[in-house]
Order: sequence, then structure tokens, then C-alpha cells
Amino acid sequence: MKTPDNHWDEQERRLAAELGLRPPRPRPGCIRPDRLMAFSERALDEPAQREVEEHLATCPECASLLTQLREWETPAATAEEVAAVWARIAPRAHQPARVAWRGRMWWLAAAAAAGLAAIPLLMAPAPPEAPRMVGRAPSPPAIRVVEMSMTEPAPVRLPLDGLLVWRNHRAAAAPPPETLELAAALEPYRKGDFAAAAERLAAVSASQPDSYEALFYRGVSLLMLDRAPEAAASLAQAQALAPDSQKREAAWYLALAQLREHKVAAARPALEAACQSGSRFAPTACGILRHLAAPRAPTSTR
Amino acid sequence: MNAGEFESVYREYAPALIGYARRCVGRFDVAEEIAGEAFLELYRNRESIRREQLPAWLFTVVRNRAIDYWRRQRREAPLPSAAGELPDPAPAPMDEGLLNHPELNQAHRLCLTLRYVHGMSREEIAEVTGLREAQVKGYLRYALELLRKALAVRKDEDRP
Repeated sequence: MKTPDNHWDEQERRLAAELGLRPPRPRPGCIRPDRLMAFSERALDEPAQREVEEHLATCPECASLLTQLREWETPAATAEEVAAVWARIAPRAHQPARVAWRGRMWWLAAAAAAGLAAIPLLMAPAPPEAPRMVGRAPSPPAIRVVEMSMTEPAPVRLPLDGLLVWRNHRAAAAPPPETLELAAALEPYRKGDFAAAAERLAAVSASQPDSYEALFYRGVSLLMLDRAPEAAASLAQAQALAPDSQKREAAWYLALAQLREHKVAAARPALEAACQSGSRFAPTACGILRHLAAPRAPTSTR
Repeated sequence: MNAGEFESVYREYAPALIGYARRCVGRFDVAEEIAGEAFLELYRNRESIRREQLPAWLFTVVRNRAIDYWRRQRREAPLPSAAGELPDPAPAPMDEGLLNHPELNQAHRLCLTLRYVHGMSREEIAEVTGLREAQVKGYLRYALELLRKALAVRKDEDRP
């Protein structure tokens, strides 16, 4: 059976010994990092998401790792990996297995492709859910792309210091009242009650004008309610206060709010930055920019 | 979207979608399966999906598939019950101050954290981060060498 020691080669062992590091061992009771990464992408079901949230409130190591994982830019697949997946799906999509990409011929034998296609898939086919769309009045074609954009509420990230100290049984001090106030105001947000969240977070912003989190999550709540001008105002204030690690996310949601206001020019810089960033917003940002750049068919006049 | 556009759509979005799938499931093989399944789902529904709905539609499918994957993982191997448990009382095996050395970049810090705080093997680190195992080995080696030198300098400076 593989153990971390088996992967600890002599050179690493020597260096680690000089630093006083002991052989790596998984942390008992902690969330595995791959699940934490999935949590960061909201790719766990509700019960698992809640379990992870509860654990994060008591584990500074996992909370710190989550921050690192959120900021980590996972590399895109290589050309070889992309070709391998194509080989698997091409027969089922009635596509030629042999394709020419970037001037190179990727020769994929039909027998090999058929063999790859025989690998059982993990998931049974199921109708995909449509991206969330907020109901609104008909909009100009150039902006319709925003309705198709994946506007998901941002995951809640709280300054955990105070909550961690409070919930750690070895500590006696309660967290600062402002942290508790913010945590309470975010409860409706977690449950998807964005109207209640917007109202409660407005109250928090009034008493804590420098709270980035209150402004940001209020802005996202208003965006989910399609109250674009108010969302943009709140998110603009949040962006000004955002710590470095949150600036990209704040800029992204502000750009979405500006698009909903039909302010394409205002949104464009943030969209271009996101498109070039390689972040998880990049594909959607690039898609929006491409749509905005596409020539429009003339619309009929009445 | 017609069948002829399918390949160009695949070419445009597959690299990022496979990368996103890796973030959602933490395994190369599973990520490639669900990304491939998302494109097949797109092909099956190509008559009703408009180009401007991409890539959001694909990312939604991948995330839904990932949720299904983790749900099955839970049934087979439930998450460790962490609710109400105290954090591990043993001291962290790596001095947090070492991780903040200014010459360590994001990749070095993440590999060190996953290895020496969370006890992952190099193979596991590669799966979670999307790096190659050789890259993980290189990052760890560089970081440990750097920290060893920094510690030696610190000891020299502390010497009376």
C-alpha cells in the first residue's frame, strides 16, 4: 500500500531533515484538499457543502488552504490531453477521429478511438440544467448574452479569525460583535433569500462602512435580484475596499452588473482582464466579449 | 449550433473546461470523463443550444456532473465527521513562518502546504493542483533548498 513515505525520496528526506520536518502525514479529521477544491467551486452537494463549512469554522489550517486553493490557477489541459478526450468522444459525436489542429495532424486510429470510447462513463446521461437566468424585460440583442451568462452567487468567505477563536473550545473570548453581525446577515444569503440578505447587509454596511464583505455580498444579492444599478453601486464600493485576493472577483461581479445596466463600455476593461487572466471567470468573459464583437443582423423596425 | 461547428466549439473550450473539471473533482481521469460527457451532451442538444450560451452551459454541466460524482463518493466513503471535533492538537509539522519566505511563489507555497501541512503524496498534489508530478517534485525541491539556505543564514545571524 502506498504511503507518503514511499514518495519521500532521499533528496527530499535529507532536506526535510535539515529543516526539522517530519514525514508528511494526512491530518486526521480534516477535509481532503481535493474536496476543499471542489467546495471552492461549489461542486459538492448541499449536505457536503455544509459539513465543509462547519469544519472550516474550527480548522485554521483548512481555512488557510482553502484561500490558497481559491487563488490557485489550475492549468488548462494540454494539447495532448485535449486530443485524448476528443478521441474518446468523436465516435459518439459522429465526428472524424483524425483532426488537424494548429497545423499538426493528430492521427487517432479508429480502433484505438473505439477502444477509448468503450471505457464506461461515470455519469448516466441526464438533461443538463439551464444556466440560471433572472427574469427581465426583453433587452437589446447585444446584451442578451448577459442573460445567458452564468451569474452564480459568490461563495461566502468570512474573516474567520473571530469565529475560529470563539468556536475553538480552548479559547474563551467571543468573536468581535461586528463579525457576528456580518455572519448573521449572511445566513439568508447562504439560503438563497437574496431579498432578505440585501436588506440585512445594507444594515451591516450602515454600521460597518469599511466592511468589504457587507458591500460585496449585498451587491451580489442585488445582482441576483436583477436590481442592477443598486448592485453596481454596492459592488463599486466593494471593489475599492477589496483586499488583493478578492479584487478579481469584485471586478467580475461589478462587470456583470454594468452589463445588466447596458453599460458595455464600463464593463469592457474588467471583462478583458478576466478573459486574459486564466481565472475561472475567463471562459465566460471571453464568451461575452466574443458575442459583443460579433456583427449584428439589422433588426426590423415597426 | 450545427454539427459542423461542434469541433470548433470543442477546440475553443476544451482546454479550459477540462481544467475546470479538474478543480471540481481533483482527479485527472474523472475530470476528462466528465468534460467529455459535457461535450457529448452539447452535441446531443446542439439544435437547441445557441453559441452565445457557451461556455456557461458547458461549465454548468461539468459542475452538475461533479456534484453527482461527489455524492456517489459520499455514499461509498462518507466524509470524516468533523462537526464538533476539536482541531488536531498536534503542532503543525511546518513552521508557518517558513511558508511566508518572500522568494517562495504561489506554487511553492501550495506544494509545501499540501505536502507538509496536509500530508499529501506528490501524486496527490499533482491531481489536486493540475501540475505534473515532476513539476511538484521540482517545486518542493526548490522550496526546501531555499528554506534550508534561509535557515542556515538565520542561524549564522543568531550566533553571538
